[in-house]
Amino acid sequence: MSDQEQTGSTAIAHRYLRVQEMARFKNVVFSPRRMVTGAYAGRHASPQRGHSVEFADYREYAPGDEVGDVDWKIYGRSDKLFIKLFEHYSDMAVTLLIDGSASMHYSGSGLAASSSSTKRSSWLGRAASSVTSRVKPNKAGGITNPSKYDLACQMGAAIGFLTVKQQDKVALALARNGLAQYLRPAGSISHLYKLLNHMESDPPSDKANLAGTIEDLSRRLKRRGVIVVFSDLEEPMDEILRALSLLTYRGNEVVIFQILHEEELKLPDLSDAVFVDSETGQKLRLNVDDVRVIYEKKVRQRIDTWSAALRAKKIDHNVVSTATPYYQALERYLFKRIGGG
Amino acid sequence: MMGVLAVDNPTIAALGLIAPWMLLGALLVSLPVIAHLLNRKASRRLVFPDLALLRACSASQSSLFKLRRWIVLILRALAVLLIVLAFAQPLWSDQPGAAAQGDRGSAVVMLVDRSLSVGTQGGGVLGVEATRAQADQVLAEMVSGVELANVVYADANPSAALPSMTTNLNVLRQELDRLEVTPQRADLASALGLAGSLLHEQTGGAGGQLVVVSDLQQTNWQDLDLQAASGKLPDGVTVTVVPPATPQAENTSLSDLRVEPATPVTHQPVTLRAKLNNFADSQRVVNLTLRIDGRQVESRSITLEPWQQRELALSHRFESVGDHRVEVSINEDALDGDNAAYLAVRVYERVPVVIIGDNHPNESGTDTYFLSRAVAPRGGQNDAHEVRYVTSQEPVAGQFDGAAAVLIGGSKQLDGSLLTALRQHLEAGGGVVLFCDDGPIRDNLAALVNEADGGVMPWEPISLRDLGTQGNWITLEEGDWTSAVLDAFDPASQESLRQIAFRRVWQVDSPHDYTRVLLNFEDGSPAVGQIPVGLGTLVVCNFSPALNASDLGKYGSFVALTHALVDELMPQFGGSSPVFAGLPLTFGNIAGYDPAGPTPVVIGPDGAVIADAGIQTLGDLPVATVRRAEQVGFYEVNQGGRTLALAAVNTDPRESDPRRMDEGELTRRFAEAGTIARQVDAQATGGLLELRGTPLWGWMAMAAMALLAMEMMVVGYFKR
Repeated sequence: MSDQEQTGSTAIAHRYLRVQEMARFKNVVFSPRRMVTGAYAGRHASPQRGHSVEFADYREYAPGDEVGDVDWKIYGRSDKLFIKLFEHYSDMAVTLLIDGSASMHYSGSGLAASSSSTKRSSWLGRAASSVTSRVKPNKAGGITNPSKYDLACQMGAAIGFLTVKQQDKVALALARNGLAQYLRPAGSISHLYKLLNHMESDPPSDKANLAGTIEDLSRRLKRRGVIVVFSDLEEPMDEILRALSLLTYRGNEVVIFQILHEEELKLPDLSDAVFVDSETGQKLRLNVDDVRVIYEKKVRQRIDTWSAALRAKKIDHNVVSTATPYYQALERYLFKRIGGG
Repeated sequence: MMGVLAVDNPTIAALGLIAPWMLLGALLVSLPVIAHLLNRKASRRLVFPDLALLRACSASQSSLFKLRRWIVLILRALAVLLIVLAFAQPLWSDQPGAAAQGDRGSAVVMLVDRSLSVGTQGGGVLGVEATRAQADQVLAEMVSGVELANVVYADANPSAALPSMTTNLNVLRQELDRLEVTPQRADLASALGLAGSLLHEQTGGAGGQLVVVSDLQQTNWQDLDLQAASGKLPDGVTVTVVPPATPQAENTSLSDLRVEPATPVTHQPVTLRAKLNNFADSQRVVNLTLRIDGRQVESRSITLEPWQQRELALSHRFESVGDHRVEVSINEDALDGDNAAYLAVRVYERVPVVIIGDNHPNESGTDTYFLSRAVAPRGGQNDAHEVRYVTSQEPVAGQFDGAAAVLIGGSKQLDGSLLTALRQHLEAGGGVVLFCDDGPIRDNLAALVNEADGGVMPWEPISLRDLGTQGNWITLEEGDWTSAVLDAFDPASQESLRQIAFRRVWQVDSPHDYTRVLLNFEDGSPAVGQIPVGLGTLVVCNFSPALNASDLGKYGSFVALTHALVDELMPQFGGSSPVFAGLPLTFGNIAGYDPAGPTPVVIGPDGAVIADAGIQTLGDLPVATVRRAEQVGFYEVNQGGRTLALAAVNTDPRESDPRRMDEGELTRRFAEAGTIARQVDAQATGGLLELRGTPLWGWMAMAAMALLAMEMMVVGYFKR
């Protein structure tokens, strides 16, 4: 047993998880919006029906029903066959799918984003974070200027912590050239710590192939659960949407956090630069000032397109900037979720 | 408007640099090049998550974006070069060689006219103020401490403000601040010569700048021999003619004040004559005032038609013997300096006649004896003439002043100073009668007419004929009885003359064309003739009144003939000889000098003693000299409170004519004289000088700033 397990959950201190920062979520329950199916009894609504649980309703017998489920007392009084139904609650499995591609490794140019564009990009503050416009270095979790991957891991760790804390299970899937890593759901702190170590020990690289990863993951998931995707969604939209459909079709709830660096939203304050694609290595020389406005417009369009498409599939879509501390982004999402938004 | 009007043919433009060593700063152009190279290397390399969007946006980039570094580099390099060039102080010239003259071209001599006419007020501005402003403007275009300059003041005695060229322009400005107009006429030829010598010293005989700041008065410039004057200037000198900034004014003036007769005596009516000039297109009425010895004796208004010169005659009678101050003045106008004319008149009790002879007047039978008795037959106060005696070897100073005539009866060689005085007396309009005996007649005659300088003798003396016994003596026969000298001789008097027999007479050659023969001997040879010398008249008699030469002195006809000659030769107009301001003044007519008394002094018009006036004596006669009579008015020689002599100094009447010479014409004449002539606009605010060219550094600094502004705009544009 690890030291962390021996000292209890409050002693966890990891690059991506600081328990003291989780205090703000002590009254928050990460509940699925859909019914989930678990292996054990839990607190979450389940489509399963059983015998040992609380009575829920009656229904007429239909061929195929277990004969043992017939309420014979009713039959005696009414000469009709009814089946007695009971409520069933099960535990929940939350799968954290983190994009481990090289593009997630981006932690910025080291320059502040253009102040002029900051003023013009107030839409971003509304869409992402009120802190975004201040372009203040994000030091949440002790990580200064976190990369997109760092932010994804921080958010994933926090959700994992909430899940474990409420006696549910958490799993980890890492997308890098497909499903590169998959850790089955478990509900212990040690399992969470294991997940965290995997996150840290697997730095982002290569391409993600998120669509393939999701498809692969959907085949592995045997029960309904919640899949939380952390990605910059820098892959073809239709492929990803098609893959996501596999998950939702099977009754899973999918939540997507689109992680973007602040400099992806607002280009860095450079007159010109040679941009190198983090995944392909291709180069592009640009006068940043010349393209800034149109770039930001296109980014906004892309995000709006993703939001519309995901909303149509009843998938939560959240844009998170690296300028926003992870807990703020998570807090805002959870409260919105509680409020039914 | 500043305008440099080309006079010569267009020339090749040239660029000169005052500080060429500053071009080393061009190495600084490497800084923008280095910055360009560093920026090129320093292009930021940024690993970006995804280029798809950026690639989609790249089409909107400015087409100038790729060239922006080159544009910025060019702008910066040009700015640096222009700043460096500005520090090198470039000058542009359209005159050949001006740019190449270097330091020699920076030597500037200003010829500043301060003659009387410059004091004319035109357009409400005194000409001297405008002249000072223009001179200051010339200095303002020069760089103190670098360029050399000097000022030559053009007046009667041109002088330089400083002994040599100087780079301390402030000193010259202070000198110009003290610029005042003089009552003198400008000696432009000397002024140009002085300017030339200053430039020669500095430039080694090539190049330099001469700036003429003058009112371009026509009477001053028109007759100036610019070919000769320009010959004193260095080769390749640039002459810039700055025309007067004030308009031509109208003027009235007084000049040529004189007295008639020239030798007035007490209680005798005399006429004071003066010329009144109206240099204006309109009729003028002037108020004229006559003052004698400071007392106003007459005042009248006189109307002058446009451009009229009117002879003015004022009657007066002097009641006392001695020197009198006559001043005629008119009311003020544009030029005040010529509104008064001064005349010193010495009034005699009797008209002086000078007899030059080496014999004592009381030595019977000598020429002096007979001449003195002919001039003053009563031998005392009752005679009309006062006789002065001078020997042939006696120093002469002022003895001829006021003399009605000079009679030379001596036979010896005349002294050199005496001959000089006689020539001056003749030149000034006096009369001299030479009686010829056995002395060096030809030498004396040649000296009197100044034959060495082209003067002509009435005839060539051949030899003295001694006719021996009385029976062979010769008599007068024919006479020009209509001449002014002899028209008083009626037939009886003529016959009386014919009775006179001459023993020794001079045989002479044919009379000169200019000679008027008044009397002939019976053999047809000339006996008496007259010839003009200067403004005066020389009468030559081929005989002597001495008893051993003729019976002339015995006859009363000789007295009549002598008086006729004296009256005819008496100068018609007189007073002191005209002396103009700025010229030397000599008092030769000192009377009443007491050798035992205090040292005489010369007192100027302002009442101050003139320190550098020279007082010396020739024999017993004092002579006072003022090196330059700077002011107009009366000068007197004073000994112990007594006035020994008086002289008047006036302005040169040519200074009163305000008409100007066309600056283009003057510039053309300078160009014809071989100089590089420039003409500038009178209202020019710059470009009066062509010191190796027009300064360009201001423009270059401005261009550099414009380039830097463009660079900032370009950089800002690409950064926006």
